[in-house]
Amino acid sequence: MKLKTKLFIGLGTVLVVLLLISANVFYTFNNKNKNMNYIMDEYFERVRLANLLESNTLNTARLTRDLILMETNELNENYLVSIEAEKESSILALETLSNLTADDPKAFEVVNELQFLLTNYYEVVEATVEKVKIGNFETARVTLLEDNAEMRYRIADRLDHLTTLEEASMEQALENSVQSYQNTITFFLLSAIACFILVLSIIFILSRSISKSINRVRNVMRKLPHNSFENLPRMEVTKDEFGEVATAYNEMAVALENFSSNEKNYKKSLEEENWVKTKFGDLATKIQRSQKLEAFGNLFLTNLAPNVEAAFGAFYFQDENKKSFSEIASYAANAESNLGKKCFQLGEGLVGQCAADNEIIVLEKVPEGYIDIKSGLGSATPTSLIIIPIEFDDKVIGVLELAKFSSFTPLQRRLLEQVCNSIGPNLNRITNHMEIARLLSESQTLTEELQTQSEELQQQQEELRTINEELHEENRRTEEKSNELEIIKEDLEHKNREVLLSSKYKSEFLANMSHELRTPLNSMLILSQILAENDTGNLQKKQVEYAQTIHSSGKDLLNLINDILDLAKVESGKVEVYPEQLQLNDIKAFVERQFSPVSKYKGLDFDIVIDKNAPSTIFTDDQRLKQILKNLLSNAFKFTNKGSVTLSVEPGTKETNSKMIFSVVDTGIGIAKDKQNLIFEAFSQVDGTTSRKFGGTGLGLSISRELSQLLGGYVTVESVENEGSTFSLYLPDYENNQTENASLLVAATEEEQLMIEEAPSQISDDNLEQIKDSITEDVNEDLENKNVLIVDDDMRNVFALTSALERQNMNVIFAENGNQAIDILSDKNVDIVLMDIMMPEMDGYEAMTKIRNNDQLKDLPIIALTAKAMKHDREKCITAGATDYISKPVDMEQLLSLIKIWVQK
Amino acid sequence: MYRQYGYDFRNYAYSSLKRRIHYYTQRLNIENISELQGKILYDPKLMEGLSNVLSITVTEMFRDPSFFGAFRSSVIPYLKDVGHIRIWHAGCASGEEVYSMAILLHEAGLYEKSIIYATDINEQILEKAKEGKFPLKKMQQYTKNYLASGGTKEFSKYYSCDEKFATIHSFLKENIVFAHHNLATDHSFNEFHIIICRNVIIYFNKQLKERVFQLFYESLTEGGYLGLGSKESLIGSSYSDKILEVDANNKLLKKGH
Ligand SMILES: C[S@@+](CC[C@H](N)C(=O)[O-])C[C@H]1O[C@@H](n2cnc3c(N)ncnc32)[C@H](O)[C@@H]1O
Repeated sequence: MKLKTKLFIGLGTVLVVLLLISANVFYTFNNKNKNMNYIMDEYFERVRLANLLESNTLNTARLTRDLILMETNELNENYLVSIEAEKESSILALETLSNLTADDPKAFEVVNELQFLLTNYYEVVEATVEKVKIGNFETARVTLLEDNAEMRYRIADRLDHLTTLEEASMEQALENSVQSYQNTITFFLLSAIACFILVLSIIFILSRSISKSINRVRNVMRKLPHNSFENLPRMEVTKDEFGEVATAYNEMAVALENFSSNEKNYKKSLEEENWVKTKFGDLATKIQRSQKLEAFGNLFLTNLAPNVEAAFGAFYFQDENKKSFSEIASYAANAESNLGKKCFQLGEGLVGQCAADNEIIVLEKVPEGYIDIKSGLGSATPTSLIIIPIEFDDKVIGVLELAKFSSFTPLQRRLLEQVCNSIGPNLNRITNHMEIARLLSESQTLTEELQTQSEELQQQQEELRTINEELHEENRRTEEKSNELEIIKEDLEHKNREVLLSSKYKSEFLANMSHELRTPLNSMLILSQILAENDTGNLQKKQVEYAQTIHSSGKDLLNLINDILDLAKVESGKVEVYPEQLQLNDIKAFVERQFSPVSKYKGLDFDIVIDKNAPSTIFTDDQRLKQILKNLLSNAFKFTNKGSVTLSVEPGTKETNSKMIFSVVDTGIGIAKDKQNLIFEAFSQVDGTTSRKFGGTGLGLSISRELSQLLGGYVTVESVENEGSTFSLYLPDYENNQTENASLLVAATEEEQLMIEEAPSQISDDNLEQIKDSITEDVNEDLENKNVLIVDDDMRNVFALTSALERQNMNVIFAENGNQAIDILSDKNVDIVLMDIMMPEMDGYEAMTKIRNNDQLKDLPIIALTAKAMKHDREKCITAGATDYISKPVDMEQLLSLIKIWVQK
Repeated sequence: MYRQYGYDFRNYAYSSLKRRIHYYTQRLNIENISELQGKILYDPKLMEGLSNVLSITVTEMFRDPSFFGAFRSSVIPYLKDVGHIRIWHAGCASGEEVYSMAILLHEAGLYEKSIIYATDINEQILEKAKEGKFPLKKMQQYTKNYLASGGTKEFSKYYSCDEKFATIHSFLKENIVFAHHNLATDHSFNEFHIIICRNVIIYFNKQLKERVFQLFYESLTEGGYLGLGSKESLIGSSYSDKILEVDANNKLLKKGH
């Protein structure tokens, strides 16, 4: 039976029983109530009628008595009517009573008795009334007393009896009703209990049947395995709702079993997939970074072969001609057995075939000895072979060959296929990469080559430019020179006259000076000598030494003064040349006489070597020639401590413009190359210490040079330091026309001399800067006549700048503000602009921007004068168009440098 | 030549070498190279001339301004933490680059603790470099370069002019050592924080480049910088992964990571 039906039946039954019981109770109570009401009404009516009868009787008695008692003949009609009414109502009541008590025999009997009595009573009453009417009061009284009283008593008695009867039956009725109420209650209780039991049992039965079904379902479900969905238990299908559950469950179980088996299959394929993927991924990452084909091939094989348990492997890659494939890597290959072939043409052999067809070739039974795989212990032939093409862009670019002792499993083949399918791009990348690397390094070489070429060109241009410039310069110079020479000539002539004059003064001065000097010096020399002799012997040794020192120093001083006088004389052209025909022998004799003692004293060899070709005479000034030779020789002896001094005389040559060459050769300390030019200059010796060590004024060579020039010749020096020097005097025959020449030269030297003399007097520390300035100022032709525009509103600045720039012979124009500057620039030729930044009206930035807007002024150098500048201001200057900047207060030297740079064209 | 004079030009870039020798023979009015060779072996002056012709000394102050700009921004911060800075300018030519570096360091307040070694194969150009005298006209370009390299001081504070030349102030010369050094034959002489060798290796062939890179690699401290010319790079050299580009455009490289 269905659960629904069961529930309907069970609970329905309970409902029906409950309904029955309540209907019954309701009916019973309703009945009782009606009965009671009826009974009560009837009894009350009967009792009331009885009472009414009583009162009728009494009333009638009272009326009758009153009639008698009044004893009047005139009968009161009213009384009669009343008595009649009483009688009527009694008769009606009696009738009703007899109707009511028809079913109660006892009461009926009493009513009947009453009817009889009453009828009798009223007959007596009428009889009495008749007697009263006739006035027979006595009789009436007697009748009344005798008959009527008795009658009345009897009626009363009967009425009492009736009332008692009625009350008794009323009590009886009440008792009955209580009894029946109790019965009803009892019945109700019993049926309630019965009903309770019934409901309980229905519930019990129902619940038992439901839980039984549930348990069945539960038990089956409990038996479900925890971790697998295989072989699930099934449920028995009943006819109730649980049957439906069971069906649904069974369907589910089937579905689950299917699912689980599907999943298992899926898992397995996933695992396989995973294996392939991991191996593939491993391989991919391992070969990822290789940049070279060979490295790639090797890495590829060593990583792939073990995974598919291959015992041999080879990797072929397309050659450049794309027609053949060469082995680029191998695995377990046997070098000595020449395993495999190194190169295959397309279509040649299995490898070539595979490449040509772009299809995998699998061989399961490889013939014995096809490939031998050797290990340390022996060798064997593998049984199966697989050859796989590797393609990129639908073209085979490589071939992989693997061999193995068992067949390749499908999984291994899958791995191989997948790997080979996907390394194409890798291979391509590597070849591309190699190609790119090659191209890159090629392009790098090219870039560098270009750079070298451009630099070489630049260098060459630079060289050309300098050469060009030099040529120009040279040209200009020659031109200038000839001009200059002309000027110089005039100048010189003029100067000459001046010089003649001035040298006269000078000589006079010198003569005077020397006189003034000599006199005190002489007395000093004489006195110090006397002291040094110490005739009286009262001086101590030290004091004698002091006196000697004073004496020798004084002598040095005197020599110096003499030399200076000499030099001055020669230079001032005061020295007259008295040429004569000189005998070489005379000169030789003079020299010998003069220097043999010195040579002996110093322990040096002294030789005079005269070339046999040397002319025997020379036309020159005897005294001057001897003076020169004396100077040269004493110099040589002075600086030589060891070895020899030689005077050699050779014939002169055309090239050297000489007739005779006198050479003084020594083995002395020599002169450093860079000093050799200096030694002829007055007041210079090889170094400051020389004069102290060797004595002498150092003017000898200067004088010699001057004298030689006076005679039309010259002196040269050749020397090696620490080995000795050779001084040569080249001397021609003296010619009169040389005088002019000579004097010219002398004049020139004079000028130099004056310079030298003047310079030291100027150089005091304070003046040093000034001099430097004056020197630079003098040579600044770059700035000369250049037009500079100063744009500044501060007149003090303008003034300071103007005076500094005008000193450089620059032409200064100034503008008070930007607008003015622009106006000026539009019609004046300006070489450079100095632009103040802070100005009223139009500031420097704006002015510069405006200036730069004019195409013709794009390259005009503008130097911004910035306040002790902030980085920002400077950047602003440059963006506004300034060429350079300098900060205020302006350092004049820096500004001049800057202008020099920017006025360069 | 190598045997006689110790000059080794064998690993110079062939095409450049060829052009220069051709140029030299033309200049000397010599027919062919073998004649030149014969003459050179007997005349050291010719050898010097050749070596001068072979050394291209084109240079500028703040040449490739962006290089110096990059140097300012990426290398100067590194130098701030170095106690005594040693910089090597290999192939310094007439010194413009060296003085540019001195100015840069001076502006960064690092010049005091720096010493710059400026070397070249060409003795003559080294002499010029020591003088630090540059033609006035060129200073215009140098000023522009200075500004373009991000210079913000007054460039004119660094030199003074006479009629032909601008001379770098001597305070910028104080910490510079000029010396002869041949990249083809000589060895390293110190360890440096910075090596600048710009537009020199373009004249070398691969083999010599490799030698020079090795020399630089060995002479750089870990983390030190190498500056190359705008057209130069380590491409194709085995040092390209040991000295790494930090600013590829400006050819700033760094040893290590
Ligand atoms: C073009 S300059 C470069 C100047 C500067 N570094 C620049 O980039 O502006 C090349 C310099 O490298 C020098 N040089 C050439 N071969 C050299 C070598 N083997 N060793 C050292 N310096 C060399 C040349 O003398 C020349 O001064």
